[in-house]
Amino acid sequence: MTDVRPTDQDASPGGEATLGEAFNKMRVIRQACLDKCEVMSCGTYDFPEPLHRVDWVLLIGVAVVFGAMAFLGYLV
Amino acid sequence: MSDNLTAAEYADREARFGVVPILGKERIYSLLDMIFVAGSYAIATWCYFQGAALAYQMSMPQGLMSTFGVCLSFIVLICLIGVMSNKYGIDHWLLSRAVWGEVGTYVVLVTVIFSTWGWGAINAQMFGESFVKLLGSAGADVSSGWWVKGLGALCIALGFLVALRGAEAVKWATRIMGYLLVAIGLLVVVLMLTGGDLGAAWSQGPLVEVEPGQERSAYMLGTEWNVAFILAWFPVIGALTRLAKGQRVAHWGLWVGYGFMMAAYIYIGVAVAHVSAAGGAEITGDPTAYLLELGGPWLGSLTLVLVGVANVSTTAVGLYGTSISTKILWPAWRYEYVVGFWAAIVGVLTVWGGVWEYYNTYLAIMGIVNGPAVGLLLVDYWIVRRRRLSLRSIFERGAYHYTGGVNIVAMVSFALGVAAFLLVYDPINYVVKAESIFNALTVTGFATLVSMVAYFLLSLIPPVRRYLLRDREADTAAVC
Repeated sequence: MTDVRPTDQDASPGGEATLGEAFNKMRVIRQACLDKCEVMSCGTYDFPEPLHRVDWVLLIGVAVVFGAMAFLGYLV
Repeated sequence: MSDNLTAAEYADREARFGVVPILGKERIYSLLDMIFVAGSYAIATWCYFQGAALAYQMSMPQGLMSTFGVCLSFIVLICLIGVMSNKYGIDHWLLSRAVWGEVGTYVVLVTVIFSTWGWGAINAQMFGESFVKLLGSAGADVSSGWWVKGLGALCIALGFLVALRGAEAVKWATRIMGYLLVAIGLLVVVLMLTGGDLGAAWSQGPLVEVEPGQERSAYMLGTEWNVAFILAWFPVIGALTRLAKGQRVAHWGLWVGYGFMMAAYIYIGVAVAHVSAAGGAEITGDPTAYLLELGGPWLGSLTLVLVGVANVSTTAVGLYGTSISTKILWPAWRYEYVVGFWAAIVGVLTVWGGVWEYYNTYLAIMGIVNGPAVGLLLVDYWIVRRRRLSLRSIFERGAYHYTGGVNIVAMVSFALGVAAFLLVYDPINYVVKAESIFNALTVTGFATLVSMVAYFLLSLIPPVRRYLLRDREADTAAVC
């Protein structure tokens, strides 16, 4: 992976560079994105609870019933 | 906002006002918030405008079946996009890099968002129309067309001020406005039940005389408008659901707020037009005129005020979501400037007035662009990639660079979808060219299906599959 972390040129000596100073905004954003991706990719991150089976059944079932209803309107 | 931020604070700010992923503990929308945010965005007065357009094509019973039928079946596509974004806390336009490639995403994003923002102009115009009618009924001289445009600009300015404060302000604004929107709906229903002849309205046909033998085609044209309508707001879905506290919250929030409530409000629009027409109102297609006719000077005026105020929250949600998505083009752009840019674009469209005038053509353009775009996003993630992406490749050049930044397979599939649309329907002259397909699937449904099937079939060819799934070879550990 390309090292895109802020360098000495991007931050003041205390690492407290401000927007008025010379830190590269794009670089900071990209590094923050990659850091969070790292958190999600390490295998221990708890992704939000996925849809349950009942959610899927309701979602698809209701869609089929109402799709049929739209077709019924065509036949009326 | 102060510029005196450290790099860490700036990165944190960009999670809320930009493209940085939002992890689980940072999310702020509960189920109720999600319903209100999605609902406030989806059920603005453009639903009444859509309802008034549908009333030309179909009777009240047909309107019920078409509106609820389409909204509660096509909402599946929207929910699946919302769930994708929520899983990673990332706007779906960033996830789209896996489908379109880096450069391809920019092209599609700009095309889709620019075309979608015509809705903002409809919304602002409705705000202007409401208050002009109100002022007119109070005796003011508001005959100049600039009154509507000027008041429309006021709606945009107020929405802009809320959107500037970000997701938290949007949450609170929609909480308040959400109740207001419910109140408007109930008030309109009461007006219809007490002031109109619901029985006569229920039994009359479409408001415009349909030639004998063309009743089903007229119904399907209205149904096509509904399909294009429900897909019209997919561009901001990811920016909203990434803030929800879980995939189920994102899913059910969208289903109730975007699917069910939108259907209910479109149908109220259909019913208002029919009841007003049954009562002898002039058939103008302008829902604000129908409301005034139905409610009389006092209740009608109150409804118009509520309608106008509620449009502000809709504009705020739209500006917030669109601005977050737009920052993908250049993440370091300042959020406030991006919001200002989009507010200005909506202002220009409102002053122009063309979206209002060419509404049916506008809806067709929505269908051409959004249907295939939604379909490809879903088939790529849920079927071809089996719900696994290389997150790192989303943020730096890698597996999703494809050919010069463009996924050729997705572009070909998209082009096939657009071609399928144009073969079946002429959006400029409103001419159906292949009636059997149009009547069976609607033209947007057909174009979406063609793109999805084309992409899926192409992905089964081994070299194409390797081209699409480079993320599996490059970075297996980071694919999740």
